[in-house]
Amino acid sequence: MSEYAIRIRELSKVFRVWRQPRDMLIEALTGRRHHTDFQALTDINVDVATGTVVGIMGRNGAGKSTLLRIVAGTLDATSGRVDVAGKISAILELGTGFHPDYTGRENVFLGGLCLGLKRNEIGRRFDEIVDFAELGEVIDRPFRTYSSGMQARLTFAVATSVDADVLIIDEALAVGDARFQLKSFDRVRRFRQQGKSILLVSHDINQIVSVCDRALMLEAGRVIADGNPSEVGNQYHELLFGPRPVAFEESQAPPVVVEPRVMRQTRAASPTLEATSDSSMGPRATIDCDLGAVPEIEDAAEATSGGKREYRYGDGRARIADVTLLDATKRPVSRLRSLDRYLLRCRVEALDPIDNLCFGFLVRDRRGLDLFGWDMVTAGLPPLPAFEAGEQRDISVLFRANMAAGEYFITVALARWHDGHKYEVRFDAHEFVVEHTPQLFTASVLNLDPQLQP
Amino acid sequence: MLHLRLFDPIANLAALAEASTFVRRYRLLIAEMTRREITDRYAGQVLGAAWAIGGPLLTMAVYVFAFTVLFRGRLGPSDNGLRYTAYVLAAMVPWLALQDVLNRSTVCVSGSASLVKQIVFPTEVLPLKVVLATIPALVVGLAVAGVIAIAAGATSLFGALVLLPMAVALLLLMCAGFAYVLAAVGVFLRDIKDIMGVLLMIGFFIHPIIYPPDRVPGWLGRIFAISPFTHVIGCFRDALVDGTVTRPWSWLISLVSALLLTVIGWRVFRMLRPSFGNAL
Repeated sequence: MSEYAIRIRELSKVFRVWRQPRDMLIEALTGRRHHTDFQALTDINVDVATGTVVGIMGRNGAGKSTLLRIVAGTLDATSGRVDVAGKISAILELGTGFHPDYTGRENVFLGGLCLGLKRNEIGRRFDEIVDFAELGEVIDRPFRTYSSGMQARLTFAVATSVDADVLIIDEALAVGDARFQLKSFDRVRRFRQQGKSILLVSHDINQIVSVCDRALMLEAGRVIADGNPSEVGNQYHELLFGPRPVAFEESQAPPVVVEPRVMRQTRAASPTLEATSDSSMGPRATIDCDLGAVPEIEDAAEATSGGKREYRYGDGRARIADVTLLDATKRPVSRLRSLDRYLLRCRVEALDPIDNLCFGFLVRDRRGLDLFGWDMVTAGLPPLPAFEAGEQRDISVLFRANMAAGEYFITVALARWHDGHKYEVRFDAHEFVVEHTPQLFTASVLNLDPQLQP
Repeated sequence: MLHLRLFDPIANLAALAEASTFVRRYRLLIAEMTRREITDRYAGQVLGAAWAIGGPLLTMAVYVFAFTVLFRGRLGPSDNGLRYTAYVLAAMVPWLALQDVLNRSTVCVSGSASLVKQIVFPTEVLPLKVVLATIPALVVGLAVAGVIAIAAGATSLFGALVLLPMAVALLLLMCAGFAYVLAAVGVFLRDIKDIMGVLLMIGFFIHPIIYPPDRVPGWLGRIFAISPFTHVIGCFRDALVDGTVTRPWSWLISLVSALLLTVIGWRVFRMLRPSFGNAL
């Protein structure tokens, strides 16, 4: 067996884009250029060692699928070369190679034949495939009657039952329920134990961290990070949610224009946000937002700085300029380890002299479910020392990450002590990820740090 | 764009070896895909795959009726009309097969875009299954033509059992060659589907199918002789009407052109295949 399963050398891919099919013919006949080039991949050099699982991360359009298709051989490279040692099996899209009108059984046979199995080999593995896909009796019903999860499971089961040396998976692990995902992971790990190599694309950082030995990050067709999955995962996270470097802005949508709005309009447009803030941000008796006390016009803006989800409002007399999570060594982090202690640090900036300032924060999961809320009034703490106009100060709160693996969002707020008037509320201002917690059920949201007693 | 040295004997021999290895290696998949190609055409219909036999049978019945009753012709003083019918059918049946293959092969790769794009799949199977899927209709048609020929006392045992299978083999090889080229080109030039429709209609009239070649002016006859298909028709007529080899040149030309078309088709397909992913 050779040392490397996949060797990619100076690989580039340029798609020719014709505005209409006619232009392609005109170009073929006249030799004059009628297309525009789209550089999908630029100078990719990757060696995948035999027996490793390599994950590829990157935003939509970064070139991940193009790379996989070239390695799988369903797309040609513009320049450079790809050498694959051994037989490839690929799941580039779920349910393909499968005919919707045929039964699951017939599709297993056809799919197996397409992937190079012999009929009796498929026959031998048939029960195992059906078993793995958990289809049972349904296997004799037409494929189109299957739920998308069932289709996904069957495709995955067939593709992974081929004795391939290299398995290529594009987002296939993202479908299916949590239990099937776990089974898929197990199968991927078994593959690796057998000395086979896997190249997989996923948007789920946790997935990559928990399955892969190594991760690559693609951005605009180039490999911009390569190494330890956890570290590459952090960089990917920063790429997604961190402040965007100017270079990327060009190719992306223009930045959202931040403009002040009348508070009442915002209320009408998003009552749920308000409800969330009222019921959980403040202690009910004191900070609850009194409509009458709210000034007529306030700043309400969808800021682009803190992540896609952020929603920001308040009168702006005091602001939270910066939200950071720090680990024990005071280094900023966006990936947290369950049960470790972290510091939430907010840079607070007062534009006017303000006393009686109160700080609070809220943690929500990706569905927007409130998991935890806290503020200084509820906690029975005294207000922050008075701010002078223009003064900046850091507020830090130490907490323990009692969450299980997942993505979480921190909302931070500044309010007036006695009536709850909001100076600044930044919903989902900061996103963080809690790393894979193998000791817990996948669906867990919290980590109660259980200790079995003797 | 084309860098093929079409008549390079070494490259052609290599391609022939490659193609036959491919067929041996993937024979199960080819058989399965062919079976599906046939049943897919009639999927969801009440009579289902029965149409694969019934359809051609009905078509042949119509032709037999047309040429024995409506457009009666005679090939000689002793012909009561059946011999002429056998003569027409001997060309019509292979023409229908060719037409079927050429029409379907233009879309066989582009129509299976998901297979080609998404899984590591031997695309070369696709044109081949189109060729093989025409065999049931071809066999039915030839059986009917054979019955007519026997009734007319036209063919011989040698013609039916030796020459006819050889003619079929030549026809299928030729079809495969065309199918590979059209399938590959069809990926990039979708119009080829409609272009073929027109060409086939013209081809039906410019080939000596419903009339004997000697009924046309000499200069047109020489043009006929350019088309390899004219010679395959000759082979079928030798087999079904004359019962012996009366057109040795047609056999030779058919053999050479069938082999050449097959290897060229294969090589064109193999050359363009890596770019399929860009166009699908």
